[in-house]
Amino acid sequence: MTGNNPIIRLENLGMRFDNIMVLEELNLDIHNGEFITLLGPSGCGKTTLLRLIAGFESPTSGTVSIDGRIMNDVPPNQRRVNTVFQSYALFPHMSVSNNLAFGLRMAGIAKRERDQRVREALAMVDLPDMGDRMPANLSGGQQQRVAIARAVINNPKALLLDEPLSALDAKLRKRMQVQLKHLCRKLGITFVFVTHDQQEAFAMSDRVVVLDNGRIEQVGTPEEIYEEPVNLKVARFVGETCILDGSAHHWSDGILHAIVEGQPCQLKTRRSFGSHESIRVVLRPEDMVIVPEDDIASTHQPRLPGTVNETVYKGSTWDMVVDLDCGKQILITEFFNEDEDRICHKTGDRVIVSWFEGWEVVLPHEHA
Amino acid sequence: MSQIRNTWRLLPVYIFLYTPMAALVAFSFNNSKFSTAWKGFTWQWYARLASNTQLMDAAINSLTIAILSATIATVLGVLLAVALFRYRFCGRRAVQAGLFVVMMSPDIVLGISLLLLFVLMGIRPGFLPLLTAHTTFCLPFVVATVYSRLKGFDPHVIEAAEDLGASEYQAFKNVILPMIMPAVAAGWLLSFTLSMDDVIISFFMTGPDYEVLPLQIYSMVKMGVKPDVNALSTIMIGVTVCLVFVSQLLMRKTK
Repeated sequence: MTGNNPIIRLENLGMRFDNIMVLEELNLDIHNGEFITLLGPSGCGKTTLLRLIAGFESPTSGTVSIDGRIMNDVPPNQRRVNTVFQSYALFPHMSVSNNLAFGLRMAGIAKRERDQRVREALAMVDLPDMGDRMPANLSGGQQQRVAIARAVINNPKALLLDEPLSALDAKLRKRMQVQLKHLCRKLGITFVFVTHDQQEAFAMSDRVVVLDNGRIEQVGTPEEIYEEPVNLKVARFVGETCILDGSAHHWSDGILHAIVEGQPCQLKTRRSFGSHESIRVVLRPEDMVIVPEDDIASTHQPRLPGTVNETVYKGSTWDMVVDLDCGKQILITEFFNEDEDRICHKTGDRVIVSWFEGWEVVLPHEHA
Repeated sequence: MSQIRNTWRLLPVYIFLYTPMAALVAFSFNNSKFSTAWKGFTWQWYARLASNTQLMDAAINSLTIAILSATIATVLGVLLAVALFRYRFCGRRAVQAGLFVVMMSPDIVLGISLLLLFVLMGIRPGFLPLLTAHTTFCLPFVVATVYSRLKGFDPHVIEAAEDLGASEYQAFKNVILPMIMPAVAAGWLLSFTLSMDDVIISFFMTGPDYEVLPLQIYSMVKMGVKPDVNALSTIMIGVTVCLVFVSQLLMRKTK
């Protein structure tokens, strides 16, 4: 297998249902063996995209190629990809073993090899003694694992997972996330995972594709998406944000001199901005620094005065909601530091808010 | 305790429903030809029934028609229900509406229209028109039963079968059919019963050389209710009870 050729390639893919645009001009290469997540709010077209790859829908325009072959007219039963459905979709009238063996039986594989592979697959998902059970007699998590085993047993080129964890409780979900990640690495199969849960996407993926309104907003590693969102939509979608307004002054060598919320400051950004261009500074709650009003440490960073509105103890962090004097309300997350004797701010305290130098993301002003 | 009380409360309903049938069963054992008074127990009406070849022929004809039409209607109905469920094709709604029309239209209208059709085609009343007619009026009931079962499924189960490499036919045989089997059986039994007790449509379809049981009974009753009709009806009640029992069992077994 040549490493550079994508296992799945989507070119100019478009999809309409009854003249409503669901996907538009979509281009994406999915590489062999990677764990890629399609992330987006409900209705953004991510499930449709998965169904196009699986072959349950055919695109109105563009092409889907799997392993270098154009697949537009190939029915799902002839595509070497398998799907794990959100509802698991196990065959209720078949035992777990027969569910697993179904794909192999359809491929005409002899019974002895079938039995052997079913045993291996059951062991792989940690259900060695469950072969004779009926799906209805399994717990949600077990059904989930049967569904994964049933898909993986066929050695697909890619495994397509449609929000497979959404029906599980939080604890089981976390455990399955880790297991799926392990499985992807162990089997070397490409995983295409669909979710609307940003944390889930970040926890598991090599790359994340952020979709909105049928378009790809950004493709990148979880770090890139979180730390360098390309626009406000992505920034807002992948976590809490504090967004400050400002205007650019002049840009040189990655340093932008600007006025943010009335304070002159220097921002780090690779994008260049013209002078007097409106900008937005995107910060994460954990990027923020909060000090008492009478603190007079010298810093280049802007100092935004405000009043603590609410504090929330979260165990490993303190969350604070601060009303800035400029009228904005922002969320700040402070991590506990055993060595440092931090002053705990109380509701009503006057504070100065700033952020760690260079942690900001500067975006052009847009009405999003 | 309260369950027993509830049963007692329902007693009037049961009496209302079953008294006529109970009377019929009782009189089929009454040793009197005309009287409605009890003259002692006898099997003789059943014995006489067995020697009535005309009636027996009609019974065999009825069974043949019921089994054949139920089977044909079930096969066609299952295919139609699956097609309506799985595919979005032009005229799908029209087919659905058409089935309802057949289901709801009065038997007499259906009977006359079928008669007219066969007369126009130059086919004489008898076995073939009867079979066709019975299949026609059973079909919508099979489709309705099977379709409602299909609608209760997770549609992804069928997609999963295709995803795992099953062709249309394999998916139908290995996944869809086993899952709808209880509904298929129920549809068959329903068709069988409908065909067995149909009088009105059969009236237009039968000729002198092919009589069916309900019509035979009808013509016997015209000359007064004879005890052997009671005996025959009792047997039919027995068969019906068995069928209902079996169908209930089938439905319960697979949820």
